[in-house]
Amino acid sequence: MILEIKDLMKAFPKKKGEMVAIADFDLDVEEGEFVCILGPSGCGKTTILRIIAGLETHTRGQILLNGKEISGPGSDRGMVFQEFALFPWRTVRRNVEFGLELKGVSPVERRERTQRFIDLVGLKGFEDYHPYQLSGGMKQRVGIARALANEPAILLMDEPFGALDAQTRNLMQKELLRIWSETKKTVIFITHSVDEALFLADRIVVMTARPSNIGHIYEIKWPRPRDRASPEFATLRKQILAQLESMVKVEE
Amino acid sequence: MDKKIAIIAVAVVAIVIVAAFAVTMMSDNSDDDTIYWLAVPPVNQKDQIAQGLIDGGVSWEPYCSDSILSGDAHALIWSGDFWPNHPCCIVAVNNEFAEDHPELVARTVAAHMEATDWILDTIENKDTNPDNYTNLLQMGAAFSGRNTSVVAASLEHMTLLYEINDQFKDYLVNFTEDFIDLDQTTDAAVTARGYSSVEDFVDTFVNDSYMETAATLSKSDTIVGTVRLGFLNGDLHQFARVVASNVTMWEGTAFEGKNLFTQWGVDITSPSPYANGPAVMLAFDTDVIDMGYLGSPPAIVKHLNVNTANSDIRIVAQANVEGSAIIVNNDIQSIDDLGGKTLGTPGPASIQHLMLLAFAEAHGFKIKLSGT
Amino acid sequence: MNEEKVDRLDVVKELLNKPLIKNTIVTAISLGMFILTWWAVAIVADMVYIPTPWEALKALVRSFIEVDPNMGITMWQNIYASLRRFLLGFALALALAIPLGLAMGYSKIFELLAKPVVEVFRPIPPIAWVPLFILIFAYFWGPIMVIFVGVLFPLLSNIYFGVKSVDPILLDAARTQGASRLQIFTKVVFPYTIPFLMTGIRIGMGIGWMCIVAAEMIGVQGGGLGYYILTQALTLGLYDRMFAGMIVVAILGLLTTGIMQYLENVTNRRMGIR
Repeated sequence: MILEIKDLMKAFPKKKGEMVAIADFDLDVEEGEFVCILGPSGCGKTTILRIIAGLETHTRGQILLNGKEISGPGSDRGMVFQEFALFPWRTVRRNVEFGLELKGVSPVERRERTQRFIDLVGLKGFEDYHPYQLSGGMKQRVGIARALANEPAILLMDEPFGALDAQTRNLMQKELLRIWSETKKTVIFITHSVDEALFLADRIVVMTARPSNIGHIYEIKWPRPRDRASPEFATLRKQILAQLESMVKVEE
Repeated sequence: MDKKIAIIAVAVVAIVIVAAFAVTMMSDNSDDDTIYWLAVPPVNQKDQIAQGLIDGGVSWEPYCSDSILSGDAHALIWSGDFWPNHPCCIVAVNNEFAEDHPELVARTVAAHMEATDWILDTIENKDTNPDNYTNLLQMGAAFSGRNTSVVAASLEHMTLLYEINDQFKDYLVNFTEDFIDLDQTTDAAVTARGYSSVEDFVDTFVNDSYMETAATLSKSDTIVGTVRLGFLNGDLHQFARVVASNVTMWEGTAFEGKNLFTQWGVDITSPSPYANGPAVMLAFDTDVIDMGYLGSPPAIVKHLNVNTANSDIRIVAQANVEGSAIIVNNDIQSIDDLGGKTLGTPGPASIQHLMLLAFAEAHGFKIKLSGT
Repeated sequence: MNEEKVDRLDVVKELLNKPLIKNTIVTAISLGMFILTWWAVAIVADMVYIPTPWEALKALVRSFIEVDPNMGITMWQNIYASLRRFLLGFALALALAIPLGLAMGYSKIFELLAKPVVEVFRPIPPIAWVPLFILIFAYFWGPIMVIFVGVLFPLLSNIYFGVKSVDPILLDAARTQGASRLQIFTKVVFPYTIPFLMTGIRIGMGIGWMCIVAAEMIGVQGGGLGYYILTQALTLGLYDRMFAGMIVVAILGLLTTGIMQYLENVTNRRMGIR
């Protein structure tokens, strides 16, 4: 098991007492798995991802990566952001090289190591472009390459295609599967979209409303690429949607 | 990587250029046959001489005596020794105002004349009537912000008077011609103002008819009118106005509670005092004052250059002659020592600056702005 | 025959569409209209303080050719003296504003310590410092320090603002890439601030020229534009020369801010910021 989350609890202090966002959250992730976390808005799924990334602290519980407890952010947990978060003054190449540059890797070696990932995400030829010259989809490709360049243990993706239009989104989902199959990374992917989760994931973790924990885990054993029009797809989608809806009602 | 090198290279070059720029002086004031000047208001000159920022300065009383009595400086030459009886401060009036209110102007002049006479009397009788003299010194000290010894010394170096005579007019003609030579005004400006020549200008500019009228008037129990009067801050050349505004000196007399202006029937209002002569002219031009005390040179220059009705003024009385000096630090003991030194002056168009120019020329020095 | 005519028209149209030419023409027209308006106002108002553009131009040309008898120098030397003060004052302000602004923006403790002091000094107009600075710094550095004070605060504000407006998501991204606190500062915060710095410099330059008259009120060694304007206007009442001085300051201001705008654009392009 590459990632173990035990008994995770996250509470935010409020004027009176505290607001518990996440409680009794347990999850084990195997190496090479593609896990989607799905849930209603505000259920804390981004918070969980940020806690795993080390960008936020947890109030109680344990998070073990390869058996060791995590402490703070690091390049062993690569992250891809919905808003791309590329450094606008850096070219594509220099964005992807960022992590290696931080580690003091020499320029020649950096270029060698990152070219592989630039090619992998399909941006060969765009190395010297600046982010403002790229479309949304291309920007996210850079984001993925940048995270992968550090050869992280796991890849955390926070609604990475949420800012893209429907067509680009579909395309990027396929591209992500291609990249994933070549790198064999463990991926934890946050999304709103049931369709997206069904298309991508090995396991779908459906979160409850606050205080969030796991509502249900769906194992998806269908082979890829998956047919969005198939009856199994539709059935499961209906089921999960209903489940989400009921949770929203509960929150109200 | 080469981008970083390029940036560093550019930065280094830029720093070198800026440093070179900074270090090069335009000129290091080393010419021994030149006196260098800098614009420094007289009120600041004492401190700057003491600090060594300038080697000396040309100023007017009380700042001259103030520097001397501080011990850090002495007078190299008094203006009266260089230009005997040279005119300095005068009393001026806006011509339209004077034509509309001739009696009011004459009464104001009368107060000025009586105040001047009183001062001259007090100085002459300072041994027999010490109280008056002490009172005078205290008035001066309160007005100028210097102590009474400075005031006493100042009185010895200037003569307060009001008479207008030919010598006065001749000096004014010379000043005007100097200004034309210095390109600070032009013959064209003289003619534009409607004068046929410089002499014609001075003849019209100086108008002693109000003084003549004043001699025929007597004091008034009622106020005849209001005059907005401007003057220079702390300038003892204009001592007469200070005395004419003083009320306490009349305690125990028939005029208790009234100053001289009031006794002559004039209600005086003064906007805040001005820093220099050109500022008083500006006050005339913006119709803030009707009458004013200022130096004659700025009155000439600005009257000619600013061809407006508001700046159409007349000189109706003198206020003082002499009372300026070239003050130098104690390292300079003779005129020859002035070579290569830097003096502060109130700036061009002031009589002090004119005097410095004339003095330099008379002694074979060139005059240059410091740093050129 | 008609085809030839059409071709020539097309060439002209194409030329006019080029941005550089278009901008130059528009600017020329705008300036021309300004001068015409000025001329009309001068004639209608008929005041001694408003010379006509022609009179101002004559005074301007004369000031470069003839030596001013008061100061013994031509306009060239005035420009050199003022430019030197301006650049040195600006360089000093930059040298202080960059580290101070970065520190204040990045470190909460530093901000708490420095902000009260900055806010106390900020509202004091540069002209108020003149007599004190002359006494403390003497004639070479005194006027320079007046410019320094005038330019420091706009520079500081822009840099501080730049640091504060770093998008937090970029900080997150840097952290997940394994950046240390120092690396976040040098590789994310500092580059992010550079466009703000450039803008601050451009704005500061305009303000610096506004301080030149204040800076040169006392003791102008080597001459200066501010002193020139002051003397011509207030002391002598020669307003056409005053306008000449003002035009020179305006041109210098335009040149310096124009150069800065160009540098700003180049930097933005190279840094991929639009």
